[in-house]
Amino acid sequence: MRVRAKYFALHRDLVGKADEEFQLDEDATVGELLSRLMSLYPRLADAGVSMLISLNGESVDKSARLKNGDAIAIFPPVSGG
Amino acid sequence: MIMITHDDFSIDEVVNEVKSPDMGAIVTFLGTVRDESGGQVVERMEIQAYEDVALRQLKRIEGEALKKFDVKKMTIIHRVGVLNVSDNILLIVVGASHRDDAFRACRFVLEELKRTVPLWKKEYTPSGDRWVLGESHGQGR
Repeated sequence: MRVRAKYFALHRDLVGKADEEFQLDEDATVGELLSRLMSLYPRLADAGVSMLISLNGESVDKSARLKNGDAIAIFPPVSGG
Repeated sequence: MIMITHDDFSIDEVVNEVKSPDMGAIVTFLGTVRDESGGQVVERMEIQAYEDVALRQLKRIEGEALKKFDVKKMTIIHRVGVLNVSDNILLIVVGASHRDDAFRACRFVLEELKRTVPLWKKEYTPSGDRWVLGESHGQGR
């Protein structure tokens, strides 16, 4: 299945791109995708800033199962206003 | 009206759009780019949004405020892109029969926005740029 990862703010700068698509095994979890991201982009883990995750715009646990076409967003705590 | 936009807005036009004869109080909050942050000069600011989710969250906040307080109508506009010092960032306009609900609803919308809506500010200073750490910093996964 294919899942899109979107990066925002500091995490976009650390990754160097706004988004990308990943091919994952069926029933892969959010945590498995995060592990892949951490090995691809070690700077994400070293940033010293909280990393928030949403699945299709909703807060999600690492154990959540992904499905084809999902969008995972990775970002620091929000700071608008 | 809920809007995320690159463009500036007219406060008078938005207030007139919100205003109706059954209102006795209209409270506005205008957030602007300050020229200082943490003791450093700020030359300009960039604002980034996870736009579709931010719009969804702003609509949720509007709905909660309309239920929680006795208000008639509101507008929330947040700008994105590169902004200069003193530029407008955020406009909240709340119309109600009486001032107390208008003030409280405006404050509620502002605090919920700052806490939950996926928007981020980057400050450009003479010594480099930095993303502003949100108030929920340290609570993430």
